[in-house]
Formats: sequence, C-alpha cells, structure tokens
Amino acid sequence: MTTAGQVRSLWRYRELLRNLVVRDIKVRYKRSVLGFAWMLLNPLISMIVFSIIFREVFGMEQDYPLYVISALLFFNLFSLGSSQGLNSIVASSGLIRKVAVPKSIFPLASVLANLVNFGLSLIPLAAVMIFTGAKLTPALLVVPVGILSISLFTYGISLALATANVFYRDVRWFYDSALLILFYVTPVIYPAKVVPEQFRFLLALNPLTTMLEVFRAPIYEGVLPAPAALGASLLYGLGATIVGWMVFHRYEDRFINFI
Amino acid sequence: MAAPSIPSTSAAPGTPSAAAQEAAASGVAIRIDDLSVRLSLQKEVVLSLRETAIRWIQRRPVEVEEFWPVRNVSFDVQRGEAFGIVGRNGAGKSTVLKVIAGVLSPTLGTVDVRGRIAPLLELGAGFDSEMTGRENIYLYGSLLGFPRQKLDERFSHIVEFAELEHFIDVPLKNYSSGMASRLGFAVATDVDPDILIVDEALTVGDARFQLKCMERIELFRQRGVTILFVSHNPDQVRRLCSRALWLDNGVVRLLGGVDEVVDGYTAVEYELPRRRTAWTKPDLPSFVEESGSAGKQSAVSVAYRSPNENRQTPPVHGEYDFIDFTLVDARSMEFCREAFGGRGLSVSNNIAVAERVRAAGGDAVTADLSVIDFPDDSFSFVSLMDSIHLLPGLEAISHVLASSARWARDFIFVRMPSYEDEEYLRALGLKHYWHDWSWYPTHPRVDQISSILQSLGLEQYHVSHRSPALSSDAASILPLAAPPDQGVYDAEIHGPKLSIEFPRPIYGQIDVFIALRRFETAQWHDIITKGTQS
Repeated sequence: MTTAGQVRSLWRYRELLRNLVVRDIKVRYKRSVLGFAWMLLNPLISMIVFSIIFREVFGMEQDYPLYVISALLFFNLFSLGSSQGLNSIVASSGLIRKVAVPKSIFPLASVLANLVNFGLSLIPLAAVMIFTGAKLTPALLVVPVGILSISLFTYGISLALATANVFYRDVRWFYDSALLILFYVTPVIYPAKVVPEQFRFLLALNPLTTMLEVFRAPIYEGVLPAPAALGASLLYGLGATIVGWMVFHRYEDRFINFI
Repeated sequence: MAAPSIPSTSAAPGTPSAAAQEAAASGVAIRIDDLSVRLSLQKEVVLSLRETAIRWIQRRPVEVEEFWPVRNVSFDVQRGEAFGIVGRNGAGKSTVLKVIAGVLSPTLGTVDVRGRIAPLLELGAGFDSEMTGRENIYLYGSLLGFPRQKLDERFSHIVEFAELEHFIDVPLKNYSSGMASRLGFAVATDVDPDILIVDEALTVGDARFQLKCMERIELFRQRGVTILFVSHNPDQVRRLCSRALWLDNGVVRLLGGVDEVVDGYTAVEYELPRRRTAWTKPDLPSFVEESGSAGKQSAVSVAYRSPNENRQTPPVHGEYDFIDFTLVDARSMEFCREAFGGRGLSVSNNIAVAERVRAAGGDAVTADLSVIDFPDDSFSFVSLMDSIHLLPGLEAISHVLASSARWARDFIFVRMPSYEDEEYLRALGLKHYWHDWSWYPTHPRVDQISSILQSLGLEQYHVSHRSPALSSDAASILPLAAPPDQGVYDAEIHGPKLSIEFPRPIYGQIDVFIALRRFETAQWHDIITKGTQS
C-alpha cells in the first residue's frame, strides 16, 4: 500500500481512534476515587518534591517550580506516550489477529491519550504560572508548536519501538532504562547552564533538549524561542514520524507471526 | 527472521487491480485466484536480543518451520450468493477467511474483495472487559468501521436483539460468555454489510439464540447479502448455501453445488472415524458381575488441541466415572451427577457449554465427537443427552454409539426428543415444535436406533417413551403451518390449531439405556428408575 493509502485508511478509522483514546483514558482512572483529578495532582506533587529539593538544598531561583513543572509535563508526555506506544501492538495482539484495521492506529491512540492527559495538566501549569507571577506574553502563542513537535516525535519513536518490541520483547525493559537516562541528560530538573561548558554539546545533541526549550521558553521566560530551535524542533518531530512510519510499515505484515 | 518476499497482492478491500475491476463488472463479490499462504513458525516464537546475538556469533540461524496452511486455492463468490466452506479442523478454512478479512496477506496469488465485510470471526474479539456494554458497542462498531452516527441510530435495536436491555451499563467483565457473544453478533450484523463472513463462532450462545442468529443470517441471504459460511454442521451449510467448497489439508478437494460437496465431505469424514473405531468389544460376559464397577475410576488425560486456534482448550487430567457428550446445554452434566452419581467429564464442541461447565467447577473439554478418543473401558457410563439427533446422520450416530460403547464399561444413556410420530402428526396437520428445527438435522426413530444397536451387537437395551401428549392441546404440539425454528405453542405466533384427541399417547421424549455388561435385574431396574426420574 502506498503511504497515501496508509494515511487514508488511518483516516477511515478515525472513529475507532477516538474510541481507543477514550478507552485508554477511562480505563486508566477507573476505580480511583479522585479519577481525573490525578492528572492534575501528579505533576503538582512532583513539582513540590523537586522544588523542595532544588530550592532549599541547592538554592535554585524562586521561580524554579514553574521551570520544573513545565518540563515535567513535557517529559511525561514523551515518556508515557512512547512507552505505552511501544507496548500497544503487543497489547492489542488479540485484535490484530482477528480484525483488519490499520495497525499504526494503536501507537497513535497511546500518544493521543497522553496528549489529552497533557492538555488537562495545562490547567495546573497555568495555575502555577499565575501563582509565581510569570510574565504572560504573546510568545505563549508559539507553545502549540512545541507540543506539536514533541507529539510527532513521540509518535515516530513509538512506531519504531513498537515494531522492535514485536520481534524482541526485551525492548520494553531496555527502554525503561533508556528513559531514565534521557530524563537526566535533558535539562528537565536542572538548568542547562549548570552543565560544564565542555559537556554542553551533549545536551544539544539530544533532540528533547531543543524541543523542551521551544516549549518552555515562552512559558518560563516569556520570550520567543530562537527561530533555529523552532525549525529544528519541527524537523525532529516530522523526521521521527517519517522514519518511524517507514520502519513500522516495512515490518507490519510480519507482526502476525510474532504476536 | 527469514524475510519472506511477498509479491504484490491486493488483499485490502478497495485496492484497485485489473482482476478487481473485472470482478466488479461480472458481479463477483469475492475472487480468490491461486491463493497460497505461508506461515513461518519459529521454533522459539519470540527471541530475546541476547539470544539473537549469541546465535549470530555462533553462526547458528534461527530455525524457522515453514508451513503452508493454504495452497493454490481458487474460487469466486458471486454477489448475493451464500457460499459454504467445509473441511475438518486445520483444513485451512480459517486461514482463507482471515485472508479475505484482510488480517493475513496472501503469500502467493490474489484476493479481491468488493464491498464492506462484516467479519464474525471470533465474536467479541474487540471487546474491553473494563468497559460497559454500551461503550463496547461503540468500540466494537468502530473496529468494524461503522460510523458513529449509524451506531447511534441503531443502538436500541442492537441492544434489543442481544437481549441485554438490563445489562447495557454493566462492565463487560460481569457478562457471561454467552452475553458477550450475543452482543458481538448483534453489533456485527446490525449495520448492513455487503459481505457477511460467518465462522464457526456461531456455535456459541444457547440453542435459542443460535436459532435467532440463523434466522438473521437467512434474512441477510434473502436481502441479497453475500454470505461466506463456515460450519462444522454439514446440514446447516446445505440449508443455507447454494454452492460450497471442500478444503482438505489446505487444498481444494471439491468445488461445486452444495449437495455434491457436502455429500462428498460427509461420506469421507464420517467413514473415516468409523474405520478407526471398528467395533472390538468382545461378547458380553456370561456371568453376573455382582459388584458392578462402582468406585472404580480410570485416570484419563485429555490434551485435545485442535489445529484451529479458536478452539484450543486447556488440557484436562483426572479420574472420571462418566463422560457427558452434549452439544447445546450444560445442564445434562448436573443431571447425570444427580441421577447416577460420580464425577463427570463434559465433552462438547460448543465452547459456551464447556465454559459453563468449568464455571460450575466441573471439567470440560472442547472437542469434536468424531475426533476425540479414549482408551477402552475408561468410564462407567457415557451420557448422550440431547446430542445424537444433532449429528449429521445415522452413520454419525452409529459411530458415536460404537465409540461410547467402547469407552464405557456399564451402560450408555441416551435422551432426545421423540420423532416417532412425526408422520402421523403431519397427516393431522400438526408437528412437535422441534420437528422443523434446522439445528436438528437427523430425526432418528427408535427402529433406526434399534438396528444400529443390533449391528453393533448391543442387544440389551431399554427404551422409555416419555412426556405423553393425549391431545393436540399439549404445548409442545404446533400447527404444521407454524414457521420453523419456533418454541412451544403460542397462539399469537403460531395461529390457531385443531383440537384433536389422540387415540393413543404421542410421546415427546425417549430415553434409551444400553447395557454394556450383564446386570442383575434389580440393578438394571435401578439405573432406569434413576435415569427416568426428572
């Protein structure tokens, strides 16, 4: 099937996509008393913990809570989306073996479910912005570009990892460790400037650093991200999606023998 | 991983190709041309990275077993035609259906499908147990590609057909398997498909719901929907379909008119097991075995795994006093336990029955009567309640009775509706309500059963005629003109019936007790009393 055909068949099943996303969200919070409130509470709790550690122990700036919560939400969107996307094909094996649906819909549903979660968690983010007296500037209009980039990037990574996970189930365990490392080599909880000059190129090599800066600059500093960073970040997102898409569709016919 | 090179094919509906265009012009709904499917089964299915690395270093390739479940199969299904596929388990029927449904890609050959497919492969595969029936209708519907708006419109109709009005907002995990499959069937068949694929999935649910499903399928056929029907029951195929295909070991054995194909299939399939279970039990011993064999159990291990993955059942191991062959109902197990005592093993090709027996704490195995086998004298008795008249003919009944006689030491218990006076009632413009049931292909009479027993050398048996009707007012008697597949008399559905006093009782049920050894009179009498109390 051509790429256009693949995209079209994904579009034909948009109703299924919607239902899968709703299911993901509903099932996740079923039987919890606070339900959706956890989506709002979790990032706040992490923020408080990190703020206590970094502000009181390491003497960070007073607006550190905003710095860290914006990055945590961003990183969670990526890490939860991609690790659920990674597992989505194997987890849907029962369906894939019985009904003909475009398989790339399953990682997409995982990413979108987390995007919805993320959207809701913008509420506590806004609250923290107001609470810390952050400057609200027109630069905030660029925030969606950062979100779009990371979502595309997450989908691309999910497609590639989900493919690998079909053939080698240890990809999942490997990825858990990889995420932990990624968390520390991305300036999520620390400012990039604390990294010694000679290692800073390592941060720059990490696409997440660029995308995070594009997302965080308007929120935390109230400024537009550098145009180069904006462009790079979109390219990372698109590039990952294209590569992931190609890998996935190159191997998807063989999934059925392995799931 | 060996990379299979897959030639360009068009399995997905809507993919244009020369063959497809030709098919559209000639009114062909499904065209299968020289289809072969290869599955690569790795000896170890999922490898770890570490093991792959070690194998690579040792230059030891992964062992891949190649397997062709379907080879060089060609056939066309015309628009509006009901087309049957018969064959034993593992003959490749499911593989062909999966290719048509687009789940598997053809390895060689082409498959062209014109129109929207409603696959009834494994009902309810798309259900999520945490979600309610309502949410699942939308999830499952969208999985089959139905638009939301259409599901909104049809929602109440779906719920009504599935008979789940009171449970629709209950999470699916609280449903019985029968309820879930009812919901699956209701959704999959509610929105008009162009092509309906009916796999053996339909053997789930209770008998009444199965009839309802068959009625709906029949309606589809009348409306001109193309139907691809796969069933174990040759009689169903004969009733529904006009043409059929017989798959044997992955290749086409016969393709043609339904009677020709089904005749050929049943002749071979039901002769085969008979040869295998040639009657070997020696003459009945001439001495009286006073102790009987009470308390003596045999250990039996059943690890029946059919090649059809849908039907695999967990292996069963245990010691049993009897086996209960049943096709429609799980209650027979309980009846035997109460009437005759002992521990039973339920054998049924109906997954729902097996699940119900297991849910009640019993052991059950899902298997086909013609395929399963046990060592001689494994059990005290074999119960065949409401099952032998569902077999596809006297040949098959004879085979099952012979096998049962081999497996049991003491007796065989048969219960079924009576067909004795079918002709007589017809002459009066009446019938018993089961006389027209399409799921009851064989109407064995006592004289036919007698001659089977005689041919097997089983000459000690007792027949009880039960449930007498003294006039046509009995609820089990319907006017002859009443539509087929109906239940007991209901004036609103069946219309008025003549009131006739019968000169002799017309019986509704027969029980047959077949002795496999000598019994003391009192002992034999005791068994019959226990079996006929209800």
